[in-house]
Amino acid sequence: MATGVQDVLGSPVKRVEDPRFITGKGRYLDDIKLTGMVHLAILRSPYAHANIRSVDASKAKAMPGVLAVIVGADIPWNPLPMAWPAGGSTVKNNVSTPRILATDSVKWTGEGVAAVVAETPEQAIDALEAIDVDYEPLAAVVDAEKATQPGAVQLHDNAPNNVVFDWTVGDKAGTEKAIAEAEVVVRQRLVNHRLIPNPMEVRGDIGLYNPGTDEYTVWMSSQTPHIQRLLLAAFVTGIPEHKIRCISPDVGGAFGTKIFCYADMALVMWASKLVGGRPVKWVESRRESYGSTIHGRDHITYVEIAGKRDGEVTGVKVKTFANLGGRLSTIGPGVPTTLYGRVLSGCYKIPNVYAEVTGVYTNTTFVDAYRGAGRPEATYVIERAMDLFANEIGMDRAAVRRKNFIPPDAFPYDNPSGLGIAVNGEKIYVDSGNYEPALNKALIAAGYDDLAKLKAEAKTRGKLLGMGLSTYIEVCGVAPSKWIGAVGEGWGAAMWESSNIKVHLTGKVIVTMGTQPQGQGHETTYSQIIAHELGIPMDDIIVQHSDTQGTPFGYGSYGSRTASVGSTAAIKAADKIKDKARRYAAHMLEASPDDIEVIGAEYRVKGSPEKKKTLQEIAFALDLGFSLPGDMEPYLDETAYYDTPNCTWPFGTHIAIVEIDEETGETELTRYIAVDDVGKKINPMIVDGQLHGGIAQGIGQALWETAVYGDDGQLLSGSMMDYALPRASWLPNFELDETITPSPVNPLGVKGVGEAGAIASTAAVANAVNDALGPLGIRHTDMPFTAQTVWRAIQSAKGARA
Amino acid sequence: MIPNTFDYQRASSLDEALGLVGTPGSKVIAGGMSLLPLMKLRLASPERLVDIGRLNELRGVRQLPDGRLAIGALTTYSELADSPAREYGLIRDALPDIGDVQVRNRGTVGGSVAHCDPASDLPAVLLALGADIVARSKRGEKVYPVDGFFTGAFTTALADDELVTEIRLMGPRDDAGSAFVSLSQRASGYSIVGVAAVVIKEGGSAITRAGIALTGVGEAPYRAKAAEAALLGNEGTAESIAEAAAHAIDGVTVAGDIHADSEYRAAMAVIYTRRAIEAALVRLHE
Repeated sequence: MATGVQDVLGSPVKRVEDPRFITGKGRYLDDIKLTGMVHLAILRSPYAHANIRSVDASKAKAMPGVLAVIVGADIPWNPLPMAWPAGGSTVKNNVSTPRILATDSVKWTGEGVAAVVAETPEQAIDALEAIDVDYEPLAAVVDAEKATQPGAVQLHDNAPNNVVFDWTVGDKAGTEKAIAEAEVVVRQRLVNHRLIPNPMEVRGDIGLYNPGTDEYTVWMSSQTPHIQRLLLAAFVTGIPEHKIRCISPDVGGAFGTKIFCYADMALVMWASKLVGGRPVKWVESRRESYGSTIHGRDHITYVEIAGKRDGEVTGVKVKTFANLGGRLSTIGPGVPTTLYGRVLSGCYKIPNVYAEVTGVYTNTTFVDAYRGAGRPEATYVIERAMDLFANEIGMDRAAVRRKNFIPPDAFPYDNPSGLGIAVNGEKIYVDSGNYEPALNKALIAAGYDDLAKLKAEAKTRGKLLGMGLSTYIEVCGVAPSKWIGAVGEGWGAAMWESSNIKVHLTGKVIVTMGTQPQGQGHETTYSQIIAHELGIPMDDIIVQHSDTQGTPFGYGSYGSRTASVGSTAAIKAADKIKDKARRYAAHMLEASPDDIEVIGAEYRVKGSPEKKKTLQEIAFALDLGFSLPGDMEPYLDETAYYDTPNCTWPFGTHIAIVEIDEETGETELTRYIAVDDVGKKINPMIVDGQLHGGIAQGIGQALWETAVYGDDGQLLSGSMMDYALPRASWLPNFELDETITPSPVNPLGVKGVGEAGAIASTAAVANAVNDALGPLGIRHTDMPFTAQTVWRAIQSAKGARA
Repeated sequence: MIPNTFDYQRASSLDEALGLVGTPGSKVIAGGMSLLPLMKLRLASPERLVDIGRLNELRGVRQLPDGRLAIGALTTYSELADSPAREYGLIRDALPDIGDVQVRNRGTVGGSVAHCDPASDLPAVLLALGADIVARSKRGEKVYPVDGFFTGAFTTALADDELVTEIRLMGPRDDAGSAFVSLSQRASGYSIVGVAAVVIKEGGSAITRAGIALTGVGEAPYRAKAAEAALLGNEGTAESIAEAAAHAIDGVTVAGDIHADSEYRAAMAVIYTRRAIEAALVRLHE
């Protein structure tokens, strides 16, 4: 490029945020130390279900360092909002959400009952033990299916049979007819078990009340600081929106857990005002996090898949019980409906798809979006179903998939599950896709044609080998506001994005984003994009974010939306910058704006390239404003708000290869192949990192991770001693490949990749294990595939055949 | 995850430590790799910690005149793994998998023995080797045979005022082979089933001595004496090994938890006992 700037867009540039992260110089919530800061600790219910008869805080108030003890009745604010109901004009959502602190009852172990504010964290924690809560314990229910049955323990008066909602999508009559008339029908019960997210950084907040201005500042380890300001102001506290400022410092991982509005955010606000405006910090312990930060997944599903003996699938019917926990989290009902029920047909052209989803209350921690949010659950259902169908008709699993893929010429494709919901008369289509090339690459890389030989060889070593496919599609890059705002859908808020770009006098650029990094490398990717757009070095750019004061409103980062939606907002702001720069360059060069061409950071007169100005020269002159044409304003400062016209649709094929010790059931993942189409890539290294992490999480669910509750609602997997997070040494090197089908939805052609790995991988591993066990006559085994589970399946099969 | 308040006293001599061990409210701490997590979870709240970590007289591995190895109680797992004890196959198998790097560098063998976690591996290794546990108190020194030392979950034969000072193992020998194999619970790494096996053929082709010990299975690590007896006099054929392994849980109430119920654990005890004996015999014949 003429300005000597290397074009970094598409390059595996090292991340600009990493030096501080890997040298301990990141500034996370707990690193923030403010003058006069005090500490808050929360007393949490030891019972999964109980009425609160009384709370006696007198002894705690007298303990050393204690400034205040707070109980639920002290706080006049509203319960937390539930902002994404199961949608549809006839769907009733029976809503119960947490109060800031519980008042008359608790619905899960970990629900907050009282809080202590003290000079030190140790003093606050010690004082918790001195609070006397008189509980009336009640029976508990933890299983979502059982909770809806007659006679089950009832949690909420407004939710008979513990039903949050009954929601349906698709053509019931058509689907039931297709199933009734089909040559082959396979039915299976599937469990997508509960997970406990484990971001490296747990959650925390600092509340700071300013008595002089009656304003609040809340630091929060959050994915959505702007949204939290809105929710805390308009729904919880009634404090005017402009009097709350929310700031997210460096966030050390989230995976969805930090999207939501939590009680502790309001609690630290209340506490700071209570202690006269001293900053109040709360940081959860990991153990506390297991009970007080959202869990993921937890579906019980009955699937029916029907079709012809030649492999064509004609109908899929799904009934799912979605466990939502003791009270609803911010978007709990949205995940198993919009983000799951509407994408059940996956990448297949199944003509009849119908789903019923029942959201259920149980005495467990609330459930909400966790990496993939509904799409891993949908992928698991349809990919298991395709394997079961293939096995039933004796057809190769890859061939069945191929036969049912949406063909490339069928796009834009109107998904029969109902994603194409009419909004203001417009439909949302799956815009693009070409699934076979990815499948072919994966099959070759995995040696799929050699499967029989591989199995035979493994058998000589006492191992059962299995290969599992997952041909997935995912919907991300959320979302067009007109779709979110459709009747019944959406979380009372939109999903556009914003960016502001200022080119300062010395040519240095500050870009803001309304998205919110939690480790994805956004500071790098935005810099790469703007460096490319404006033709300036990455070093001349910084990216500011995460402070509701001084950055335009944005909807945060989740749903793999930053690359598609956030980046495009930044590009549109850059376009405005370049347009103004071009017009001012014309003024400086005494030419017509139409005669100015932009090459990198140079604005030249066409035909006379020696007549040029750089962006830096233009900014300097514009920012001074000594000579402005017409009604042009000084400064080079542009803001863009951008609403995406569609979601994006990454897809791909993953293949997992496992070996099972036939004697003990121990299951090892020996190879993992992933071919993904995430469109064009801003930074291929970051894309690989996202895939690695997502794949590891999905494998973790299939093989190791599971949240275990006793029947009394006690969380038995209450720490990392019992909840098996994957270690890097347990995983093979992932073999990654790609196809690239640029997204037509945004100028970069990107689709987003934050969740794709997690969406595909659980199904791939599950299909691999089930493939390994198939020869023993075992049709289906639920996850996680612990040694005991697999052993038991093998024993049952051998017993049945004996 | 903050412990309750506690007093702390660091002993500067063994005599000083012995004066404090067993006093009301006191708990000995060495590496702290088991005790500190318990204190942070507030499952243990001793009023006073007696830190013996600087007592160098309790460190070190030396060979006794009779050929046995004497291992100081404050020897860390890493130090033990690097010591002459590495001659033993089962030490080479078991030690690198205990805990993690930090645990291996700070956790002590004396601590492991005194703590007696039902799923810890070192006690099973010591049972299979037929070790002696040397303890001291103000009343003097006592030598406990390891067989009978581990009496229950987190319970040993130690008196309240006794400190483990040394562990004595038979010396390495050419006519022995040993191995340790285990199936672990993934999250914590603790053994669901861990089997330590030592087989000795003195003179001929028949097994004359055997030590087989299991951890993770019962209330405490134990010797599977019926399995040992079934091996004696055999050459170690596949049939005899299977027959021996079938006795792995004789008389034992098999534990169960959310990771492995008692049925699975019992089945694995037999399989892993077989595998341990097989591996020990392979080493013996090398």
